[in-house]
Amino acid sequence: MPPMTARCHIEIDDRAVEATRGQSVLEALHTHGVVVPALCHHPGLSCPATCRSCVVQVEGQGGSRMVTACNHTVAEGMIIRTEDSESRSLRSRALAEMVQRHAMECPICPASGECELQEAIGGHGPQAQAHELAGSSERVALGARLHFEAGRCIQCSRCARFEQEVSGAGQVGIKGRGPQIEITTGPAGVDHPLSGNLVDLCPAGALVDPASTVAAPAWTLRSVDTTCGSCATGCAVRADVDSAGQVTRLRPRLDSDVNDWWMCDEGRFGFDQELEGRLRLPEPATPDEETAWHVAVDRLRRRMAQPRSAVWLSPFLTLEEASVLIDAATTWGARLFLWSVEDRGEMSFPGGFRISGSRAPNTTGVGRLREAGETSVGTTKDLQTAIGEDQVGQLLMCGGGPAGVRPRLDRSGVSFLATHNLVSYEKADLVLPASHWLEKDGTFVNDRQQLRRVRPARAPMAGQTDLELFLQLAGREPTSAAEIFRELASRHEWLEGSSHAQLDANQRTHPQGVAAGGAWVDTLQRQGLLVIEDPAR
Amino acid sequence: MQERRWLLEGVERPDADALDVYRRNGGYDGAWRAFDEIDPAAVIDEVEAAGLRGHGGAWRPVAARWRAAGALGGVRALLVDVSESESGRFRDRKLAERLPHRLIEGALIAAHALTADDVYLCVRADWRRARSVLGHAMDEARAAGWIDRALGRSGHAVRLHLHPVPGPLPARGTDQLLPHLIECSRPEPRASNGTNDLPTLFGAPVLVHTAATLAFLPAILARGSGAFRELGSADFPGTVAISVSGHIRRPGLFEVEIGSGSFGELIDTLAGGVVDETDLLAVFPGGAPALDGDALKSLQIDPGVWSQPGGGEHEGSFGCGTIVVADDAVTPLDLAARWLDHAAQLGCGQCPVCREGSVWLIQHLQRLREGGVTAIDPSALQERLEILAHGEGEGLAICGHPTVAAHVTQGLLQIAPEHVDSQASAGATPIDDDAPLRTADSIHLRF
Ligand code: FES
Repeated sequence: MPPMTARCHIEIDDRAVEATRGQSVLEALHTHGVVVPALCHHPGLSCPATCRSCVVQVEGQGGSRMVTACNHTVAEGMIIRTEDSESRSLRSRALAEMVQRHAMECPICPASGECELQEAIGGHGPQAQAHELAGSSERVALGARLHFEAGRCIQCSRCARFEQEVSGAGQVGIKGRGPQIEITTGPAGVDHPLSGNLVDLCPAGALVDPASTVAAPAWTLRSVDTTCGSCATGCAVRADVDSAGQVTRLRPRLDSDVNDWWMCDEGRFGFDQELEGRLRLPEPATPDEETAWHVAVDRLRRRMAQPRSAVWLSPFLTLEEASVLIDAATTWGARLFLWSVEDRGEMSFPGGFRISGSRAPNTTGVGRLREAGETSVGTTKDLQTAIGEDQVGQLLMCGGGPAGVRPRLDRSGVSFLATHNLVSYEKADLVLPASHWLEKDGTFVNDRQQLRRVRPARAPMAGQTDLELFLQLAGREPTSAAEIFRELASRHEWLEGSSHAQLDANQRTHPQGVAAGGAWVDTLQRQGLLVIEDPAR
Repeated sequence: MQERRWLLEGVERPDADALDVYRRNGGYDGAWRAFDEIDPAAVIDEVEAAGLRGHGGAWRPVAARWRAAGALGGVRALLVDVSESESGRFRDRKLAERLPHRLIEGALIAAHALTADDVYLCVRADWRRARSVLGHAMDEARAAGWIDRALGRSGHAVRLHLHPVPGPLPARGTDQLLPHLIECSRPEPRASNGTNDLPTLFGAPVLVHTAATLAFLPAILARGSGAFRELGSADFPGTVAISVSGHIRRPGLFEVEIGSGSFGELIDTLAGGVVDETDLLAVFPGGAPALDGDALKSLQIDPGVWSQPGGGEHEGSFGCGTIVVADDAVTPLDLAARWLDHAAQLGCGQCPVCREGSVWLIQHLQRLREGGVTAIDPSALQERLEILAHGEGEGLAICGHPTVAAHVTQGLLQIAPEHVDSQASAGATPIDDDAPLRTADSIHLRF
């Protein structure tokens, strides 16, 4: 139980509320739904309190003062006012100063619609301001997916602090003094593996992803909360989907148990090579022709029911998929093996963020199913030995990983080979297209034994998902991933008490129009200025 | 009016910076008394009885600050600010160059009173002479056993470090800024979070004092607080050293008793009057608005007549005792534009109000200077200056730098408002200024 002193009583705009001791005034305001702009503050970074846009009036011992909400902590009996004309006008002044030299390019700025500065000005800025056009801004390429628009920078220093405190790369810094102060990088630009986060951090659209300038505007996107499947860290992410159903980008979601506010560039930018890649398999195929799903399924089931069959499980499968496939293999009497992806070594960063050494998202999960199952599951080496000893006549080889992560297996001697993959890189008797993790519904277990929920952001390109395929192979009726998880949870002690619904509790599908972090759109909605219909409802 | 030297006592002696000259004239007697004869608490009592206040500009009572620091758990080090950055101020630099031992002795006494073991002398890196003189004096003092070694009966050893800091710095906020600089961070003051008053250096609480303040301590300890109290007013005892520069016949540093006369007397008698007997206009770079010549002449040299900190009738603060004198050949508008430009360059650039506000103001002052075809609204200018002036008080700025910059500019513009108006109207002709103001760097000092 927390100590008695953990809570304290404060007043926000004449409303008596409770706050947590040690919390900042800003946090207390946010918990109670009061929004003040906070442009230099980022909860994942240190707090320099330099933008002064979060000024509120505070009454405590010693009279009333104007304080910056981000770096003052709440105290018992504190009276906070945000709606009084004085603090309103101060915030508006701070913001007016900040946009003085900010290049007003909202119509062509990719941050528009989810820009913190835009939102702050809309909610707290001056009613009208004579703005002398600051000229178009100068664009500097800092990296392949990172451009700097100097004219939009408001010197909040978030990027420089991120480079010190989270990535530790120190590749972005501040130079100059007074009016000449500016963000700068070394000759190498920014090339560390967390650089994409700088775009998320920037409150003013000064650090942008060049690809986003040609993508759909933020307010037309729909977002889905899911888990990144690019490595075994299992970062909580949000996939933004445009009106054509294409996933346009991934952005990290706060998950303090796993990734805080961050994700790595490989996960962020790597997904669309596989997801939308030209080489992606559209439908099942034999060496000569494409076939229909039901033909392929029939053929596979027939062949696998013969003696000397083996199934090679992939760590890219979800728990649900793997468990159904294991069931199918058991009915066939096939032997089971698990592909273990080579470890490339974990990378960790000063801020506590890490990139797992394993590029497969669910090695732990599939491994634990194996441990708990009655049938024994061999390793890659076991499979190789079995093939060498001519014990494998038919092999279903599951992959599903990105192009760079390929299984290495000498399969001479196998008379029937079926592969299940995103792209076809292997000559096989039957090729089955796999689902990308952005098309999957299910759960992964990351390398820290944490259950991670993956949810589909788009329809499967091949017409059906892996789970549907495996259910057909097992001869089962179609059912949902949630149902299969329930079965699993009843069979496996380590999953007891969990369910999709419980894992989903803090995740949601955002209706179209409320793109990730599109707080500006939220504000407009609150004010009744924008009405968005959710087509799904 | 006459000079009354306390801080600058003995400055005219040949080799005033040498240890033996200083020692022969009673130097280090105060330190010896503090370290050998009385305990730190008694040192604080003595300083309290003397009523010494800080000469950096805020005029806070020194003993009260020490006691407050003690109540917060004490400090680990004392930082001495030898980095004055306001234009026209050269008091601390001259002190370091001419009387380094007085500064060292004062720092020793303060460190002893605070029971701090380390003193950092933060000297502007571009003051090569001050740095070398202080460095040499430290070597002498070390060899003579005054620093880095247990002293007197107290056995307290104080380590002295000479630390060059980049200069010039923002005009205010050095309390928060100097620790940053020793830690080799950018010259940016840290924002206060309303809790701990003490700045920290590498996580340890420290206290920052202006050099001149500490240099009063040796004599207070050696001669007793009574002698100090005899001078000046009840609230502001003692003397003050004023840096006078600009269009003046004898620019220099003059130490006078607080309340002993007006700035007019100081300028006319000690500083020899304005060049060419012209009219004058003055700039106070220490928090006070600039004043026109007449207002300045009758103004008493006394922090007590200012609203800050003395509660007097003049709005503003006395600052640290600096005046830059300009004669009437200078156009106030032109001076204001130059002044603000200079002040903006010294800012750190963190707070939008100071960074962007001064850019806007400079642009518009520049337009006024150049005249032009379109009219400008002078009231917008005043409004922006007001915002700048109230930056710190209203929470929009971390330090008082914008306040100082705005006050001076406001005062200058008020000297000739009709000129501002005429320049603001359409079709005004450019101001052509051929009488640029000379400040401390280009004038010849008396010693
Ligand atoms: S968010 Fe509080 S000062 Fe910037």
